[in-house]
Amino acid sequence: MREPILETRGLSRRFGGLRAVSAVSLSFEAGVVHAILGPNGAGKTTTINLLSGDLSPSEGTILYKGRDITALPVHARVHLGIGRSYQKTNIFPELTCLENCRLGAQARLPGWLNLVKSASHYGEIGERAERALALCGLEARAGAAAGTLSHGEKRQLEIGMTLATGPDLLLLDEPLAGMGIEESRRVVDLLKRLATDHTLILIEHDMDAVFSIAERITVMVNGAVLETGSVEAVRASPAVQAAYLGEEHAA
Amino acid sequence: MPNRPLVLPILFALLCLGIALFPLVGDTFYVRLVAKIVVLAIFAMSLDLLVGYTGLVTLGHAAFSGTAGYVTAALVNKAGIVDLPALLVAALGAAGAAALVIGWISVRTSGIYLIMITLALGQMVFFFFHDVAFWGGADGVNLAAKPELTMGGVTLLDLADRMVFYYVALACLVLVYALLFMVSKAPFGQVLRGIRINEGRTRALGHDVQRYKLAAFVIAGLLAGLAGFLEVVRSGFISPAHVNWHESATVLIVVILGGMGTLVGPVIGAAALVLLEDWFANLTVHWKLFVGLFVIAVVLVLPSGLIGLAGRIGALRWSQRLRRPGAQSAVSKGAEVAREGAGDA
Ligand SMILES: Nc1ncnc2c1ncn2[C@@H]1O[C@H](COP(=O)(O)OP(=O)(O)OP(=O)(O)O)[C@@H](O)[C@H]1O
Ligand SMILES: [Mg+2]
Repeated sequence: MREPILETRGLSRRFGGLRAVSAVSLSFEAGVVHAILGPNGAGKTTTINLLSGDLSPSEGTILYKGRDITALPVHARVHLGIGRSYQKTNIFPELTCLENCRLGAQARLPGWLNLVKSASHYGEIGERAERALALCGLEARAGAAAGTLSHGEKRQLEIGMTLATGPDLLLLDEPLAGMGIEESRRVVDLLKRLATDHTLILIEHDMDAVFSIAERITVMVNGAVLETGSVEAVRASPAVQAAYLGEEHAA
Repeated sequence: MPNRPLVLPILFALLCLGIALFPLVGDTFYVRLVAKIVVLAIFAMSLDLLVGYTGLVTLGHAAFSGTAGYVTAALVNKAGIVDLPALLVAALGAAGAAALVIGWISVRTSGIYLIMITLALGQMVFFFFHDVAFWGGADGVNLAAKPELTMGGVTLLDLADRMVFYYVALACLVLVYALLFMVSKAPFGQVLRGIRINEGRTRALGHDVQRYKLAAFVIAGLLAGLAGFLEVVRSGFISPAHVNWHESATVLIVVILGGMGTLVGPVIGAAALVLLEDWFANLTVHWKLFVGLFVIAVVLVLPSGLIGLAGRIGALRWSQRLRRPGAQSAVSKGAEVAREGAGDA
């Protein structure tokens, strides 16, 4: 087993009386595509929110590259190389695609109080933003206002902005949600390309996509981990078949 | 986009040219009125950084200008200091410190709570100057002398001279505009714009939004301090009314009236408000009512402020370039053109 890039220990999150995430202890290996599956309301997005820092856990700890990051805010985790995309498209509609990415690329500037030189004169911002835009396949739409993109393009931009922050670990919440077949295929290709030099933690309902990309799978139900392991092991697990995958995917 | 038309900076340059030449033709009364406009414009521009660029609507901006004004008056009257640089440093330092404290508390909130907390903190500053006898009480104090800049016994600038003050204030207006324009284009300003459009995503892209908001508060507070300093020198008088929330509301109205997030809008808003007040005050004792009606009419007809008029004219010329799928209304097109020279890189 390769060394873990991210580990959770007894991670829980309550919303009032509801335990959205319950005692989740997982280990994510560096360089591996790890998919999280589960029915609606299983706690997948909440888990990603805990890993990214958008939410703080009620209990438990998160270790990133061996370091306890449980108390770190979102922006600090981005600087450590954790990037996330959102299930519900979360972009800057009135800015162009390139500007959306530039804002991500800017996160890696040294210092934050950059008041004098125009942002457009920072070569490194432009380069990183353009690279991210090219990677997510929106090169041709660089100057278009993000709000005018098609749904599929917005989903691509969602990933592109995250890439522009230069992450090592990508937390992708249903990147294929609502995409057509052709768009899905493009994004799956993108994810495969990203997988060569990133660690991916991926929530996805599209089983075919998951099985074609992921090496490891975790199945969550009611906030808890039902099963975790290699694709084959999880597919073969009777508990998973009973609880989630159903007959269609039963071996 | 380097070849975008710089509508707003050009408009600003024309306004400044007009202000610079005005004393050659205008009579003394109106020259004084324009000086008042210039100071109010600086004040409003400083608030525009918070309201228009960062999306932080506050109702306590007079705390910063008022603090600077009171510190200036105290140093002149009680310590006999008239040295311009020393007074400026003290006034801006005090305003900046107030902004640091008020900002530090306020940036933890947003929306209606931000309005309420800046209002409350601003009123605390008001009562501080109102109730502590040292500052001169409810009636306010006159400035015993005007600041001057001397070097080796030679007086370079004497702000007691109305024309000297006029051009110093105009120079400050240009300086503040240039500064805020620069900041808005810099990575810092890009993050502020991100916060205004989508704060959560800005944070998730790795920006410590709290820290950016606080820095915006301090910059805005410092520049409001400059306006407060100029105002006490201009009018030769300061009273608690200068720190009261009415003053904060007025400057917010100026920003909204002129056009948020444009820097030029606040200048136009300041001109409109001062000139209208003067005009209506000559016509009727109910002038405040008419000024209020005018403000309401502008907000209803021109949601992007008076600058939207310029924007609409611009929209005609560049409508081709702006026509995008998912067509926007003519009004938002106007707003977009209006923003162009200011917010976007
Ligand atoms: N901010 C919140 N406040 C209260 N309850 C919440 C909040 N966020 C999520 N929940 C609840 O927590 C549970 C888990 O939600 P979560 O969004 O993590 O599920 P999910 O696995 O991502 O589902 P889906 O597949 O529909 O996206 C749900 O019952 C949801 O209603
Ligand atoms: Mg979800």
